[in-house]
Amino acid sequence: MYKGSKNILLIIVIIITSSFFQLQKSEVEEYSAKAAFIYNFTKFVEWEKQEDGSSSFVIGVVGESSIYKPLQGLALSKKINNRKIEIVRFNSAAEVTACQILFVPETSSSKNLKECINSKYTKNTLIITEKQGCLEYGSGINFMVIDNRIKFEINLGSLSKANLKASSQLLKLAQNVQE
Amino acid sequence: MGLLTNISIHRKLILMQVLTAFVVIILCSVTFFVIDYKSMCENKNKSLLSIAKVIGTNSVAPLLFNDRESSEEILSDLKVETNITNACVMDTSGIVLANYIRADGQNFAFKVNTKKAELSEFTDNDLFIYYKIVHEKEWIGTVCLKAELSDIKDQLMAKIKIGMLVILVGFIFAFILSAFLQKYISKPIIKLVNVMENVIKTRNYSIRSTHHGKDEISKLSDAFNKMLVQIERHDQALSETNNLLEARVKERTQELVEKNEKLFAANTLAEQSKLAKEQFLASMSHEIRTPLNAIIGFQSLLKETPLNEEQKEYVESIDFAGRNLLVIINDILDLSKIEAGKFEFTEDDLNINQIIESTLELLEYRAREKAIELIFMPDEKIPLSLVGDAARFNQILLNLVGNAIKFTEKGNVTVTTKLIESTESDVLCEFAISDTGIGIPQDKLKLIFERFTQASTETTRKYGGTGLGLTIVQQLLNLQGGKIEVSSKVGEGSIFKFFLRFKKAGAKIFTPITYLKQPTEYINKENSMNHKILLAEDTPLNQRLIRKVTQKWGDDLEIAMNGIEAIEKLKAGEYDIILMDIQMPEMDGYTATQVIRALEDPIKKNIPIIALTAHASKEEAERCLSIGMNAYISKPFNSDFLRETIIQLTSNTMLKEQTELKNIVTDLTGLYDLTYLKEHAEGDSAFLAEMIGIFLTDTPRLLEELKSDIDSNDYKKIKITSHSMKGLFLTLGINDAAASLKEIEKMALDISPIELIKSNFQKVETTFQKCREPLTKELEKIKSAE
Repeated sequence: MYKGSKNILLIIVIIITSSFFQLQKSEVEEYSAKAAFIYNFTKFVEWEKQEDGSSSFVIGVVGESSIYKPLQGLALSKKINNRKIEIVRFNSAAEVTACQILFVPETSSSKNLKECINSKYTKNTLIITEKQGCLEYGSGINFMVIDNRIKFEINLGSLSKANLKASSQLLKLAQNVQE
Repeated sequence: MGLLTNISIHRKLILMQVLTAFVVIILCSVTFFVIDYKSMCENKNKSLLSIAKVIGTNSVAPLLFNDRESSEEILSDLKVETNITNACVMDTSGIVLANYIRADGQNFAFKVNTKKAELSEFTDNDLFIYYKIVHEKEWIGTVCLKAELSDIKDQLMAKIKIGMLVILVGFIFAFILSAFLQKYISKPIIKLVNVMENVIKTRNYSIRSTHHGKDEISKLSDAFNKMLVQIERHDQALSETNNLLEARVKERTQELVEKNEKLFAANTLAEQSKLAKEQFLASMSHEIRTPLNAIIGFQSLLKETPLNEEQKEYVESIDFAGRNLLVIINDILDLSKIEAGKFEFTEDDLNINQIIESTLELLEYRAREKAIELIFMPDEKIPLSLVGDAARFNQILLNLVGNAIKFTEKGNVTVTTKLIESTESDVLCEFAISDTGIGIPQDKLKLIFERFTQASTETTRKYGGTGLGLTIVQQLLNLQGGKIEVSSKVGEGSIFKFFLRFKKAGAKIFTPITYLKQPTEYINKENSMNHKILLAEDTPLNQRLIRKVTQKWGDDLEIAMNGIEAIEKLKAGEYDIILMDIQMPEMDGYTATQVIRALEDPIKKNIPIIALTAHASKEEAERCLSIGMNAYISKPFNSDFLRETIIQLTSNTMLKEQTELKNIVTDLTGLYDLTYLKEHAEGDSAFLAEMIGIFLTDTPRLLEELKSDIDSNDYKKIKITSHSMKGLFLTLGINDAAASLKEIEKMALDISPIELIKSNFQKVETTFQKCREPLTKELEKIKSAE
């Protein structure tokens, strides 16, 4: 009995820890996929004016997010429209400067999101969120997870406000397109 | 090839064309089907690739955003393409994003293609397409398609079926077309062949091939026509040459025929002249020998009359010359007989020694005159009894021994016999006659046997003779299988040796034919000199002649005009002998004799009959004797001989055998010769006148008769009349006419063409006209002299 109780304990511990790690792992996967999605969005969205080749394609992240790491990885290996990718971290909406894509993680508050949207630096910026209802607040693309798979929805009004054009192919794949 | 050469050209053409069409159609079809299949596959490939591209393009976003639903949605559009069984979209690591299976299909796991941007793989039944999806130069995934090829194959099969139908139809069309078109080639050729065959069959080289155009067959046809023209020309030339040759041959043949006719005529003429020569020679027997006999006979009569010394000498000369002439004539006759092949040898019993001895005896007086000794040295081994022709042997001996005596002045003539060989049946003897005379030069030894040749011309002058003796001897020996040899030395003498084979006696014995036959049972009543003679004779001249002769003898003569009358007279009266003419009207001498010999009265039946005939031949004589006549005398006759014969036959005593018939006829010169008549007249000029008178009155009548006989082609009558006339003319010595008459008689017997007889008849008539005047004058002269 003694020994058995010890083993059961050990098994419980292992299960708990392993589920934790499991959790940890799916989070990494989720964000690396989201990072890839962000990269792929650049292929289907047209920005108003392209800067000359010397300037970088800036992807900003507001607050703390696991996406930061995979985005950094992308920035090292890929280019967008022949421009270097630059990942910038903003602690708050107030800190936001000019960028082409601004990721607002779910940890940010809606107040923070509103600030980001209304910032003078985000007139031609694709704002991507990952919390349900963010689209109504005025984000361009919002990630959602359905059946453990990453999907997204698009707010065409927000996009056109930011002078962005999304391709029909992207729209086709969107779970939900708001006008 | 053997099969192809044996079928006709139009079939060949059809076969060739159909075969060519077949091969071309099949080749084209196969090529077409292959190309078509390829292109269909290519099209399929292209269309599938384009589908893959569309899918790829559409799948870019789903792939990037890993959107299975939208990707599957895209693939579900493939339902339209029914031949696509499976499809899928996979990412670069081969993880399938979306999969498509046709409603009736099964799942299929595509392989991962990492090499080519586009890859098409054909298997037997399927086509696999791999298309790499590239976005912004980055390979993001692959579209895979699997499509069935059954639809292509179905299409191909359908096309092949149609194609087969087309081939079949094409084949039929090709056949029909070629069958129709080949005529343009084969027809002219067949036509040409027919023309050629026609030319060959009919040999008509004027036929032409009528094909016109500019192709090779036309050239062939033209060449053939040209060839025909050449052949035609050659043919014509040939036939012209042939005609020319034929004409020439005809000409030559005509010439030959003419020459042949001429030759035939010449030959006939030659034969006729040969015949004439023979007849002439035969006539000699009568017409030369007879007067000669008369001369010799009268000379002997003259010798009995009182003559002075001078006259006696003349008579002796006449005798010598006459006999010499007789020998010559006999020699000529013998030779001519030998050469005419008419010489026959008898087989008599003979004793060689006896014959030699008698020959020497006969010549003894001549030898004695010249004081020459005749010696005979016989070989005793030679059998005494042998068989051979005694007369000819005698003749040979006489000739040779006579010659020896003639050419020897002094010394001797020796005859030696020697037995050379003796077999069972015969003996071969050698006879040598040697003399001590003048001899013969070596170079003349062979010549002496040739006719009319003597050792020298001087010999003829000095010793006389004709030069025929040795020729006859040689011929006689040759004909009997013997031979003669001569050796001589001039001045010392000659030796003549001859060899002759004789049969031994007993081998074969022949009874010699004699011209005189002793009457068998005739009983001679009286041996007086007066005979009662019955003459059967139709010719008045002969009647007169015999009457005159018999009157002289003191015999009685009764005349019968023909055979019938003679038989009647014999039955009525008694006669000692009959003189029977052979040719008489009503019944001839032969028949009369046969009738007489068949009479019942033994005396009359066996009365001696003497044949009187102008036919001087051995056959005639034998016929007379065989029929039953007792003797044969040829006309004109020697009266002494006739007398002798009559006496002999009536007195039943054998006279010395006398075979030569002695007749008297006139000389050959002049138109006529009255010697014979005058001799018989014995100075009786009235008789002479009467005879000439009869001739002058009878002849015109007979000539008229003969003429009518000739005109009526009555050969039998011609023969009889000409025979009667011949006697008349012969009696008056008008020999030309007599010869012509004899010819007529012979021709009548042979039934020769009447023209020949006519020409002879004209000769007779002409001769008679010539003789008429001189004979009339002769008659007046005789009468005036009376």
